[in-house]
Amino acid sequence: MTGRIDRRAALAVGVGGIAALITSRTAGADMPTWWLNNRSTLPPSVSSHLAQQAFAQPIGAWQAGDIPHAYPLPDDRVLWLLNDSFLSDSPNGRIDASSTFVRNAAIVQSGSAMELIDTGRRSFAADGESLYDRWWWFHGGEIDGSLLHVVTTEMTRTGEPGWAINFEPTSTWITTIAWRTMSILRMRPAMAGAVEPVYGFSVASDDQWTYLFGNDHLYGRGTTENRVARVPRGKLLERPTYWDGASWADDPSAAVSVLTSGTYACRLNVIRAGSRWIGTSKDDEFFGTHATIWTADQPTGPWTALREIPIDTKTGDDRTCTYDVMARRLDDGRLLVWWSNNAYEEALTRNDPSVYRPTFTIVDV
Amino acid sequence: MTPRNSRALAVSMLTVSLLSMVGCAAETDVDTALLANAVALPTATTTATTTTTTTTTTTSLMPEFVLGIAAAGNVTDLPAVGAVVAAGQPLLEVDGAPVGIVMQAATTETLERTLELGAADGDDIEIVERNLVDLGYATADEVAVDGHWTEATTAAVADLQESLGSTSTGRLEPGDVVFVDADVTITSQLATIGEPASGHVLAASTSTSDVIVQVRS
Repeated sequence: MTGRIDRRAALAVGVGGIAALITSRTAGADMPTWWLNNRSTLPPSVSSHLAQQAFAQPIGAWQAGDIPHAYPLPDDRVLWLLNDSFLSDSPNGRIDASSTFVRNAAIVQSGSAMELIDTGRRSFAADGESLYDRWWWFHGGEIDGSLLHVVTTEMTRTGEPGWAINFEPTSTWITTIAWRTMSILRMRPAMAGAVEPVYGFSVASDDQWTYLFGNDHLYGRGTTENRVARVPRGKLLERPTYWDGASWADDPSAAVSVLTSGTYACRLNVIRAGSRWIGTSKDDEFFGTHATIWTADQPTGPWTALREIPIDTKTGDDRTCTYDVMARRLDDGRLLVWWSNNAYEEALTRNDPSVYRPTFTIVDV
Repeated sequence: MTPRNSRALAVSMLTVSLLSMVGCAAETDVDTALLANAVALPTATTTATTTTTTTTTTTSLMPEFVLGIAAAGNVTDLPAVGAVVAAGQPLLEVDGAPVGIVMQAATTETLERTLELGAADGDDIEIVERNLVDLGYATADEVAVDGHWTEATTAAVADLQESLGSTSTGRLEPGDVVFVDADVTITSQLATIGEPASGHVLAASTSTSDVIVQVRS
């Protein structure tokens, strides 16, 4: 554990360096209908494109960023909501004073075309944001008719400014997006508004229910436990019930872990794949060396490790780290798996933004 | 939707004759409001084939309604035959804009007045409110389902319009929405894409009625 603690400290130092750079910049729908349907998988065209190209290079003004969440839309487009990102008029260049740091960014994929939603160099969800003190990070989401509800955490800085682990989630919200126009309609406090755990960290649905997987790990603290709540499919504004090990209970304190793994953190990202459920995680996040693909017959488990995938850092050494393994099922049954990358030293990311872009691969399971 | 009292009077006059002709009054709990927009009696259709000796008789006892929608321009998209138009979805697109938003109700009717802040309380507002909550445009805490239009109702309607890509006014004009008692299944396209939207544009059915969608001039 000593090594891990040292690396956490290193990350904090490195992130602090990046923050100085940022600060200086700151001075400057299953049953198809005619109008909707409910796809649960990405269109086939996504596979080769994403694995080989998407996010490996700038997308419009998007230079680099982390934690891309994929939200397949009823019209076959895919909305990608990322967390921290750099935007620039010269996106192929290094991250410098001309780059803008945002807390979240939105990219729309239509076939092989990727387009950054122009927010005027602001975060996609910018209302109420104070860039370094209070901001929004997106998590799981689900379609409800013409709406996309996305679980969102309010993040608050807890320490000195800087790109460090100096923040924590303070409340959970639901962001409602009109997916046709990509406009944010509302942000409301979630019924499961607490943050220990954040329910909806990962979201997956069957025909009847939407399951909100709960996990505490948001970098500032680790947790190896994953709980689950549920609401009627797509109804993320409703009050959830919680799996207590035997049934669904109204009392959140009754919730039990459905998967506990790792020694520092295990954040289970879940999708539904046909009749089974697939989860991805990276034991110990920044400090782990492999992703695990899990499977279960029910979202409540039991979860069984199906396969492990070695994950190398972008630089092949400990100057960079990896985290947040996610997946989507492709139409051919394989999994599109991706994770985020980051550098411990600010200069590395500044000089080579590619180390801050996510990595994609395709996995047979 | 017309004021409740006058409509009820008109309906009561229709009800007796309709029930007797349908011939199922004894088994059917007929909501008088359900018949308010009835424009044709249930039909009995006999189809005889000349190639066989079989004669098939199809009898429909479903009342038929005309749903009036407001639209001006050319039809740019229509649901296919067999498509299901669920609550929150439009019946068609005119000049690229969705028109005739379907809302779930106990009865099948057309919105007959403007709903906005200041509108008199009514069943139609209650239907709109219930749909806004059910469709996720508002929570029950934000919009009470009580037939009274509030600023929160306006905001939720604006969100509905925005989400469909139509002009976000927060107000509903006659024909902007239709009330149906079940999802609408398209049975025939009566309009042509690219042609002006006028007259009968769609034939459809719900679980309890046949529906003709008509663009009001």
